[in-house]
Amino acid sequence: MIIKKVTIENFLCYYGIKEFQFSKGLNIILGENGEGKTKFFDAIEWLLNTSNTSNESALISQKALSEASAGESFQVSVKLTCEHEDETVYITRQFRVSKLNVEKSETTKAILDGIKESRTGERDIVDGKQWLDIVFPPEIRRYSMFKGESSLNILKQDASLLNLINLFSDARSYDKYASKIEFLREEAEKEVSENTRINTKKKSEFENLEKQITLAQLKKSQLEEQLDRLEQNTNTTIDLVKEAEKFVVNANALESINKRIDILVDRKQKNDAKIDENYTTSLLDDFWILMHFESIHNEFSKKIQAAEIAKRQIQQEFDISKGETKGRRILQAKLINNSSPLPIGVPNKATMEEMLNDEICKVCNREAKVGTEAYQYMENNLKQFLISLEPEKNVEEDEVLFKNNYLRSLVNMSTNHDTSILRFRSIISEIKEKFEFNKSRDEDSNRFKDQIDNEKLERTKILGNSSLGEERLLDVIKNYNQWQTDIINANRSKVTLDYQYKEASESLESKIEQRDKIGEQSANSYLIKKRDLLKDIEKIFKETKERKFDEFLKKLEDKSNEILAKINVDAFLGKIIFIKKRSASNHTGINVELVQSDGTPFISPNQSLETSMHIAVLFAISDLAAGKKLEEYPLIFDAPTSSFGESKTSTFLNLLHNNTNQKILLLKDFIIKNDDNKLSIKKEFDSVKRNKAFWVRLERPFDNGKLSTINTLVSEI
Amino acid sequence: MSNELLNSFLDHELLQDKYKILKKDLPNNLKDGLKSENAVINSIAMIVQTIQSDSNITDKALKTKLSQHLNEYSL
Repeated sequence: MIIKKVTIENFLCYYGIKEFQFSKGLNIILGENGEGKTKFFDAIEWLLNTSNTSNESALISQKALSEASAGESFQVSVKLTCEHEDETVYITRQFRVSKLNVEKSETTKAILDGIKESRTGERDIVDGKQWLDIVFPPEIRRYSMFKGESSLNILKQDASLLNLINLFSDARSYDKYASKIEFLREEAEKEVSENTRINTKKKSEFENLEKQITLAQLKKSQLEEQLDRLEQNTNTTIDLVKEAEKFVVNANALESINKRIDILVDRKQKNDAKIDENYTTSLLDDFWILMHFESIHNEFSKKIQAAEIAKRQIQQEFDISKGETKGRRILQAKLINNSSPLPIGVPNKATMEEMLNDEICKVCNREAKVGTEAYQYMENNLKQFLISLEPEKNVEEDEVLFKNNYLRSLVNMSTNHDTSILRFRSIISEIKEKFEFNKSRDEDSNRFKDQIDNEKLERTKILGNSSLGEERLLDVIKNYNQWQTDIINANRSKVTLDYQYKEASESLESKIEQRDKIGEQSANSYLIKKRDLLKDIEKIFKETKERKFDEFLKKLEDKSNEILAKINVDAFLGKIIFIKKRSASNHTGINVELVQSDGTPFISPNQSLETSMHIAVLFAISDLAAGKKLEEYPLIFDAPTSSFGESKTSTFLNLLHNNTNQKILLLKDFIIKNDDNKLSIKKEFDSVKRNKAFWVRLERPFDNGKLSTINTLVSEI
Repeated sequence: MSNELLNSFLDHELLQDKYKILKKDLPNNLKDGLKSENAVINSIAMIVQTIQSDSNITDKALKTKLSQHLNEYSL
């Protein structure tokens, strides 16, 4: 099928009737973003996806609606004109819009019309849906239209590649042979069983074996189901692991960065705790102020020493004098001729005063005038008597020179100051040491801070490079490790199940053999021969189908790699490989992977390489289908090469041109905005080989706030 | 397509290994296959012709046709 023409009428930004006349080979539609490329794709998709009952009113050209008068109606349609087996088929999806007033309009339900035109020009109205499915089967449409690079990932889905291969290879021709012959062989086996049951003498043994076979088959199929389920789950987990592997490097890095940050924060906290700036209070307040009083203390100390010496001298002199006085007293106490003195109080005070008053010594009865030695003698005696009447004082106390030993306190103070001076002489070095220690800790702290900042910066970069947030990225590690464990456990379970499956298969085969032996002895030989013949044909059909599939897969792999090499000139290639997977229940699945030259998987190819791989496979299938002269179908891509540079896009387009299959590509490349804001096609596009090219762009001027001014123009270039 | 299918089936080694049919004795086309006196070749040719001429044939119809066909043969 070839798309000859697409006609879009009043659909979204396509106001009025716009036509795209396509040819075989490469058709390119260029357009800036927002100028109508994707709306072209949407129009085709709306036409082809008949099950899509989208709201029609959302598809109307607002320009057409605004320009229509109240009561007026117009058509919205997308028409596909295609060539199919020498006939032209027109498929149109359309609806009518009636404008009721400025604000209100009505639409009819969209319908699909079909017209078939023979080579002679004879036209027949046909069922649009039926003919759409004939000219462009839904199973092929599914693999013909790709919107954006991500849609090419469809090949990663397990069944997709298998479906495509079945669609476009001749392997599918063998499918029905395999299924038909299986039915015929089963029927032949039933005939043999029935015939044996009637004729055999070992009827009960035969029937018992049949029951056992039924049970063994049931057990085998249960094990197949378990194995399939296990394999599906394992594959899902492997896919998850592969997906996670894209992030696991970042996730690992993030985890170790977070650990490093935690360690650094802890070190910094411990380091900060060591910084003691108490010297500012304890040292400065208590002692620092004394630092400049040493000279005063020295002077004080000298004075104290001098005072102490002086005091000792005075004390000495005092002690001598005291000794002398004491000695004198003793001497005075002695009378002439060592005679005994009179007792104290004889004569008494009153008598002595009387004698002094009378100037007569009444003891010796002699006159003692004032001024005479005798009078003085009496007077001294009175004095001594009076002294003797005074209470006796503490001799020791009397003898103390310095009642308060202030000097001792001053000496002690000076001695204490000497000790303090020794202490505050070390204050400078203590403070210096402390300053140096704290400075060093501060430097450590700053170094830790810098390291933490660097780690945080690194973490930001990792998070910036990852499409996942931090929380999900950390989950990747957790899940990744769990999934790895799940895979190991699943592989262990598989070993057990495989063993059980092998045992069940062997048991089943043995029972079938026993049953067949009885059958061969009893059943009609024709039926046995027929069954054996069909068993052989079944083997031939199934193995041939398998071989054809493998042959196609090999060709596909070679062709895909050939195309990949052409797309990725001078770039890293890798190699596309197809891995055929067969489940226990014989279901085949195909995986496509990119491997390095040594065969190891290429875990995270960049988008450009991944797109190249998908496109290479799609084109290889398309090429091989064309080589088989199977019906060909167009491939429509919207922005498939966003990750390609312009140079690679040119190479890619020239490569596509070499292939005659119809392709319609919508690209935003090769458009340039001039200084005056006008769009034009770059000269480089002249060198791009193509069969047809169009340029879609908005009619200018337009109001970018009003959809009713939007109209996409289509010009062939 | 029919000849291609037939030839690919007849290319299977079972025909040589079990049925001792030499490569040179294998038919090249459906017409010759249907004429073959060998039951396995003939049956394969018959199945290919039936399915290729009516891709929607039911399993039961094919079984009936094959049974009739094999009945004519002394297996």
